[in-house]
Amino acid sequence: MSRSECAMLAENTGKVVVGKQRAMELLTVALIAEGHVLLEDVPGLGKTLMAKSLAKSIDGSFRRIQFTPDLLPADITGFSVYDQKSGDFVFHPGPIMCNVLLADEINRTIPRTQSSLLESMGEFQVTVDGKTLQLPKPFFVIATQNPIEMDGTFPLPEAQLDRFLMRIDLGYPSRDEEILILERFQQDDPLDNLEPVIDPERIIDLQHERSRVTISSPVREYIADLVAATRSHPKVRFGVSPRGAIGIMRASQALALLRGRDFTLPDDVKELSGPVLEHRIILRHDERTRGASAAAILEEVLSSVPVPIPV
Amino acid sequence: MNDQSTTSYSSIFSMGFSLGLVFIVLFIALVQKNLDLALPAGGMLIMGIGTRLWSRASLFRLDISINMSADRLFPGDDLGLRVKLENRKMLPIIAGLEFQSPALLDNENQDTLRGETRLLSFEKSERRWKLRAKKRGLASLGDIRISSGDILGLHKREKLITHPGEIIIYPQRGELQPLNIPFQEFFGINASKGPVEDPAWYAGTRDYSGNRPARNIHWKASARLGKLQEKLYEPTSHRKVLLVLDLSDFKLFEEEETLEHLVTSVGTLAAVLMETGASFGLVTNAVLSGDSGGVLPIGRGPEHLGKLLEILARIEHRETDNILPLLKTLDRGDLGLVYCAARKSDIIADNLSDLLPRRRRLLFVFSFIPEKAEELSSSTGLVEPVFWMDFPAYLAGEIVHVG
Repeated sequence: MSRSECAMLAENTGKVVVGKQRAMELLTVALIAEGHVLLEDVPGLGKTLMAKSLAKSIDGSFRRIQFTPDLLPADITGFSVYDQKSGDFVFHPGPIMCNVLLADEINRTIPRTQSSLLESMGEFQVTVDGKTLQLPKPFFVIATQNPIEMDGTFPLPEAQLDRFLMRIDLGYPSRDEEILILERFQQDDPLDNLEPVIDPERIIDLQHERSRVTISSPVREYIADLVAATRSHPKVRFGVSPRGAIGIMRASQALALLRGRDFTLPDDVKELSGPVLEHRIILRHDERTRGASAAAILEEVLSSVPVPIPV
Repeated sequence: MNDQSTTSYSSIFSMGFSLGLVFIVLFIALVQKNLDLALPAGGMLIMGIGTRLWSRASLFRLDISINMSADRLFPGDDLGLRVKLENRKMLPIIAGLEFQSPALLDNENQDTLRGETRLLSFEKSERRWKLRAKKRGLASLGDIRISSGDILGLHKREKLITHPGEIIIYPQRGELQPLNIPFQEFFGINASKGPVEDPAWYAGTRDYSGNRPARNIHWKASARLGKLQEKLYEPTSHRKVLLVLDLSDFKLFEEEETLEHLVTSVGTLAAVLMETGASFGLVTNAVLSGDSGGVLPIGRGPEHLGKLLEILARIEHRETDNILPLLKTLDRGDLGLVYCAARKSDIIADNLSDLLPRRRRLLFVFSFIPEKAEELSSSTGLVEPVFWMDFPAYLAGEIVHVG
């Protein structure tokens, strides 16, 4: 049941977004694993469309915030306005009160505003003027950033990056996919005709089901070894955090659920290590200057850590 | 890797002629029915033809893969070079490889890297070398000579392949005294553009003017005072520097070492800027090897420093044009300028007078100390020299103000 629902969700979004099955699968995994996603790629590749189609597929509320340099934390979380008639402060909730939040071009705003998302992404709540408010469930942040432009941007702080379960690069579509996109968007926007296939309550159920997916001791040890290897690598300044280890465990459980299994395999961990761990590896400055990449380090780590074999 | 050519060599039988001679001997022996001569001659002929065919097939299905541990290095860094040969056929062979050690890389004073091995059926062999980066520049492995032949070593065939990868050796990082890098300041020396408010810092409140967005209203202050108050923000600060490397006035052959010092100083400046979190860019009129252009837009971070150092690594000692057209494309009023050149000249003064608004802050880095500092000040309208950089005696710098 769970498998078909998860697969249906990924398939439904695929009706709008062409050729990004892998990215849609990862988005679904992140949603079921109660994580958030950072989409990193050049403009025009369908990042917004992907977020919108996912929100529509789960019949959830969708908000988009265009991050600009003058955006204030209160523009996201909401603010209290003084009502002269009642003589009291009235709280106006910000766009964060939704199921799917698209934080577009998140690196265009100042770190102070970026960090206003920390509490909501980590603890699913916001605190404004001393009052803590619970966010609607499920709460899923899809942030986008353009990796090319540097002028006028503020790189995401490590603490913020670490709160994203996955970082996904989309890449350009192939020639055939491009033709299909042209056909699909020739007349109508396919997003208008997209029907929900699941409701937010069922997503919450799936998130609970995910937590019951078995993860054996060898797989847990494998995750711990991988994470430890990233920390002791000579080219790495900061390796994967314990939050990252929890993240890949949960993501592996979600992937197992998506594939109709009630247990995780080391292959699930390996498959998700790129999107889940890569952005958490902070290389030494001199290695970054030399052109070293976290992807290459992770590849080295994956090839050096022994994979547990079922007995 | 690109295959270039294949040539064949033989040792005992300088082919054709030798085999022809043996064939004649065999023919005569057979006509004369002299079996004592015919048998060894026949044996020699079979061996000659057999080993020749063997050597012809020896390069077939012989794979070579070259792996470098890094392609970007600083002088003094080690480069691990691993060459793997794989014989993917039944025929055993002798295989060898040979190539010149790139001039910019040190291989314990050996100019040529070579290795030879016997490879049995479907066997692999690996050779490793350790090279050390010597000085700034662009190195490549160039042509690699692969030789192979029969297992007896009678015939040899060779082919040249070209390894396309390039090794970039960044300039060495030097030491700098603390610099007064000329960041532009809106309310300081130069206010060339309207200030952009920085929402991270608000300086205070004032009565709400009504023409600004309501989100600037400070509601708590409004409640306290009983009338609407708005927040006032500090202007955004700029920490952007454009490094200008003008090589037009170098006497290229006589002053090669000096030029290297200037390139090193530009790389060091950029590294210092990166560490302070500033954004930086580079414009240079130097001739660069490869397809690179001499303009690096403003950016920040270690990866950006890598791009800048790569441009510096590609600089060749060749004559250049005036930098002004390039400089015009990149310079903006909000950038601090660091002008690095051989020496003070009228061309630089002309370039800057064309380009700079009044009261623009500048840092000059000259390779050669002007004989009289006053001369520099009077001729270009520059004011006080502030400091000298701790570089070799002939590399000096000054912070000066234009105005």
